[in-house]
Amino acid sequence: MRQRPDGAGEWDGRHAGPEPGTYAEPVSVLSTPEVGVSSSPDVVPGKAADAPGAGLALLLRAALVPGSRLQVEGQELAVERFFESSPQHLVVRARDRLGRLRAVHLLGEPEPGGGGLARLAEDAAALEGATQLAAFHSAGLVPVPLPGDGTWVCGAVVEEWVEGPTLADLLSCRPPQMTGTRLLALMRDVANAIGALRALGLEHGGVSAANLVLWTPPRGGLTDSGRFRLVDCTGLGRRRPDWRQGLVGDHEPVEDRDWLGFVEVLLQAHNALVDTKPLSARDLRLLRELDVLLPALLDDEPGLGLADPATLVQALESADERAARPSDPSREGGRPFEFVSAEHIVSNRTFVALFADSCPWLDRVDGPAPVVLRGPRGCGKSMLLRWLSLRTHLYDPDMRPPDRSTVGFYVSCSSDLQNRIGWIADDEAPRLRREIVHFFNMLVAREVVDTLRLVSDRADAQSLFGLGPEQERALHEFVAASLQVQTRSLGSWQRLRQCLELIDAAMQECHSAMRRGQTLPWTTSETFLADLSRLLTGRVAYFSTRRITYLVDDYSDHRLKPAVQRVLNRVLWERTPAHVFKIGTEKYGSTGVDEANAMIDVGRELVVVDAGSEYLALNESGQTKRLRDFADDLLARRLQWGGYEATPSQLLGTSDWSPYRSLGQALRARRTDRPGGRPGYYHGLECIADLCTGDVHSLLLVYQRILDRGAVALDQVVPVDKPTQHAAIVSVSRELLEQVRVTYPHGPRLYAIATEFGAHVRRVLDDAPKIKKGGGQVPPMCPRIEVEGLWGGLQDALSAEEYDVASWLVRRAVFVELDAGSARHGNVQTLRWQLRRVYLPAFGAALQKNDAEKWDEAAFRSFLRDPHAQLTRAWASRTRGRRARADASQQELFPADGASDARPASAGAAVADGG
Amino acid sequence: MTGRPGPRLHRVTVEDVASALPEARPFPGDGAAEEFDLYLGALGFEERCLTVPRLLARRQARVRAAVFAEYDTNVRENEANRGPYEAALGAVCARVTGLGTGVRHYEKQLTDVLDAEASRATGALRVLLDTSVASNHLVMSTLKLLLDQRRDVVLTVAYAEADRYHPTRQEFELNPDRWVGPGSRGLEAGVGEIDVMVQYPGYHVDGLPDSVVVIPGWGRDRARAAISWVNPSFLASPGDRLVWVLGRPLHSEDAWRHDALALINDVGESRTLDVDTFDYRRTLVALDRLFEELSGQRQLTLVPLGSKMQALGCAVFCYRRPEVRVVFATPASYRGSLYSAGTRQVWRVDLGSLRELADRVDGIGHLRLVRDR
Repeated sequence: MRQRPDGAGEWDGRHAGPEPGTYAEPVSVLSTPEVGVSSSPDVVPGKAADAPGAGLALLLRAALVPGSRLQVEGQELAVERFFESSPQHLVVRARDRLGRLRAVHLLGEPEPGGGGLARLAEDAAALEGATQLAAFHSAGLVPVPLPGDGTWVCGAVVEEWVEGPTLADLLSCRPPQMTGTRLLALMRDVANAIGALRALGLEHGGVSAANLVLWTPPRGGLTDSGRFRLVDCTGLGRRRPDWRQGLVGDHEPVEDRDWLGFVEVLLQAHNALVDTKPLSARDLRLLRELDVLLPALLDDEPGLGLADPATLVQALESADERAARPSDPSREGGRPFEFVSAEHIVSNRTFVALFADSCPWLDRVDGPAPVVLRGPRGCGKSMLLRWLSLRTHLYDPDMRPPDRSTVGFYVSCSSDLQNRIGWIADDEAPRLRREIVHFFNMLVAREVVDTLRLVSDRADAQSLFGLGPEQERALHEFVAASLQVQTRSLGSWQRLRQCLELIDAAMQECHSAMRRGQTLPWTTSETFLADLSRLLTGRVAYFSTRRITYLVDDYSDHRLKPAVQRVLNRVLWERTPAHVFKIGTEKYGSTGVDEANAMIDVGRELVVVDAGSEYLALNESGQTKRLRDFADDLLARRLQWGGYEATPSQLLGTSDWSPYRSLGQALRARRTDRPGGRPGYYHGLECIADLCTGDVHSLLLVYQRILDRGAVALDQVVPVDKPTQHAAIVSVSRELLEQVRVTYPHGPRLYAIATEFGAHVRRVLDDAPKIKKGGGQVPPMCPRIEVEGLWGGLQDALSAEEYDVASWLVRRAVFVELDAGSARHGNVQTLRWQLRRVYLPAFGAALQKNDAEKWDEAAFRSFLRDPHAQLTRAWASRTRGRRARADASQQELFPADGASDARPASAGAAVADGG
Repeated sequence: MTGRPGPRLHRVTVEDVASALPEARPFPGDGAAEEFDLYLGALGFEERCLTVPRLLARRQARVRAAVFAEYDTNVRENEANRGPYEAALGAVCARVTGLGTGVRHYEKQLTDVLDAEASRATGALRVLLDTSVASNHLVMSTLKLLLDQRRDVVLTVAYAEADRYHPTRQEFELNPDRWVGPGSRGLEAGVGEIDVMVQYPGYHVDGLPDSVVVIPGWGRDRARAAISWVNPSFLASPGDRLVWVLGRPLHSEDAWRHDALALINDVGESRTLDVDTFDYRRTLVALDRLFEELSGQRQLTLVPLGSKMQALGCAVFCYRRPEVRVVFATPASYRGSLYSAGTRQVWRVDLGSLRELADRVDGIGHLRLVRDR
């Protein structure tokens, strides 16, 4: 048994060694008396009775000082240090003549166990080669001179000194130093140790936390496998029948001491892991597995129990395998329309199957350049960035990941980064800048290591990726060195998982320090990720020809405050030949300066892709086929995944409106035509593609709703009827519009602006004079606002409060802002905002644009402050124009429009009408 | 087979722990004078803000220091209670201090108060936490601080139950549109702020899909804003990612409120759990069972907008399960005059030593060796 190193007051009197015995004549106990200690002339057996029975170890400790020499079986051992044990058991760390460390167990009972030292030595020698246990060297009696004039004769057992902390040491730390890998290693190693003992009909007799040492092999040794090793063979003896075996002869069965000791040790370690706060998802899953597995250790039902070490180790490996990843429910396949955002999809297999790689802007985002991918939540940023990550493509061990020039690692700011540093206020960020960078580094490094852990499980880890034990060790050492920690490693066994545990601990430490307002004595630097990237490209073959790409999603100021972004920007803007960042953000959601107020010219230094304006730009440049193919692809993949027989065009048909833009004509005519039955204006694949403004999520909701309302069966290949499609589209439109109200911040205000403008678009479509387009008269469709002369952009032109509202209108995609590049003509900058198209059916408006509200800056600001008033003026302006034209031509274009001027511009009424 | 039963393992369940936790019991208006080292409360606009301080005065309790939070919403209505509130506290305590507005510095301020009072106390610090008009945010912040720091604190939680909660059944049935549907005005106006509660960041590092557990109140928009904040698609397509924990009121005459909550919050086909609004232990049990079911597969976010006692249960749960993130949505303002009237019953939960409570709760999930005799 070994406890803490010696020192004043460390003797706790706990007893776990052999039973206290009586003193005996000093006789040789081994078969080779010449190497025994019986020749010692100083033995005074009579003194034994004077020795304090409960304090023998204390007495011995007083007698032996560092440097003292002990003779055991002819071998001289120099005493170095004492370790706490029981009152009848002192552990001495000593060196032999060759300088090798040995553990000398000095025992109050010279003849321990049933058979004495000779039997013990014989049994222990039989265990040679069982590396789960400390190697036995010798046993014999040893005289120890007592203070004064006597000598004490002790039993002495010499075994290998196993360097490392005991399990008891690890558990007594606050918090206990227990991790998932340690618990697994403990189970495996002790089970194997007991298996080796049982094979020889032996029991150790002292399986306890104090006798399990976490051993790290010396560097350069033959083995790299750290493990828990069982020390102190002084209780070794013949295995007795246990309660599982029932009565044996006349003997009452006894408990299997080793197995019960093992179970008790496991409970301590298990409970320590349960106490760990917080636990990673993997450890939570592991504990759930162990909740089933551990009780089976004591289950004596045939077929249920796990009392056999080899079976236990197998069961453990299976449990660990199951815990490695979240369950991949096969039912995901049956409900493909449940997944309307990347965060919904657990399984990467499902994810890849559903990802529409016809996404028109995929090519612009992929590639080795740094990218800013903009768009609101729901535009598919996360889908795209996640698709670019290596992890996503590792789901099938037999399939190679796509061969690209980059290799991506995905980190979302919407989870732990936001949760743990999102609270840092602007005035606190500069003080905590080192910790913020450190936390970010660790979060990204965690994703890298975890991805490589998945790679290491593959059969082609070495052949394809070039990832083997040497690379894993280099990575582990790099992380440990970067963190300046020296940790007890379990060697090559699950090395990357151990590395993850290091990183987790560093993240916890960092977060705790920040919450306490403290700084850490050591943090990783702003160049850590560059160094990590260089290490990977230099050591791991797969990375050597690819640029490492860190995919940082949701990097917006509702996740991370601007001051925190300013700190992190110095990391995110760095690029080296080995690495770049690709950042997903909302327009107006991230700051373009760093902590030193250095500004990045985003448009010049980074590739900027805005999902909303990309979509609209393609629409207006006549590339509508690409958009429809994308919309078709989105649905087709889900139909296929869900086991539907139909294709998108079979289920949705084509639009009646040929060309479909005449949807506006039909909507305008609805009051005069008064078609009977349920309306069916919005239907068909082309129409649905036109609902999108880059917000892929809206399309998926529409598909989901059409299939639900149409009660589409798996074998249905006829289209869902038009009124059902129409009703589904309008209901989704209304729901999404309603969601604006609960958007944070400014929800009610954004909602008011959206509904006022939507109602205005509808009124213009219904009641405004037709306009000339393409040689004919068409209804005006004006879901767009154009503002000329906004010098310096929104931020300079608007008041702070107006800017705040305007930016959230864009960030929440109430309006989609076309990018500045396409809005320049001459020297005048034109702001162009288009109402998110999926809202238009709620108002019964057309989906296309052939007209716009063209305002000056003052009108736009008025719109932001009081949308109703501004739109009343805009309407008045249109009707003044109509009257003027009507006067000029003496022609009434729209007789039915006369009443419309009197109709109140009630946004609510328009929404309720819904087409 | 065995000759006799061998040892076996028992897993400590949340039910084992909850059944050993103290329940709420009436806090009588008379009885022996009690002593507390510290009173923690809040200045609010409801009448029952005054109830516990007055009860303490009537019982001639002795309180060494009284500290109360002051909110930055409904300030004028809160101020109307300040005089009588401070007077009642002043009758039992010589040192009465307001902590100022805002939650950002509450934790630091409370830590300073606890440090100061602990230095004066000879033994464990006896704290009375008056939750009567405290926000759920305040209840959870306070408990988190006390439990995490493992201070030597003996805690009593007091709660003045309102005599009448609005809306009454009549109010609700006469004018349901006021309470149900988009834009309904209810008891509160707008959404003030939404954020992750800094004390409960959760542990969402593994990139699992989100699940949101909402304990809704009477403000439709607040719950929906919080859900939307986590993921807007959960409103339109909740699937199995949204769980509503609907309160079952203490008194049978209030049972209709359970269904009204479901209606107001438009829970639709989403999963629901019914949990007592009063017995905090049931909240602990329900949430922990849910955690056992989903953790490791989903990353959980809790939105605790329900009753005070449910907030107490949430605080104990979140102490045990720090992997769960808490998101709060505060209203822009409360319709103070509509909230509640009078006091029906004052309750107390004697949680005792918080170190012991923490140890007990930490035991959930432990395995123990049991030897049948």
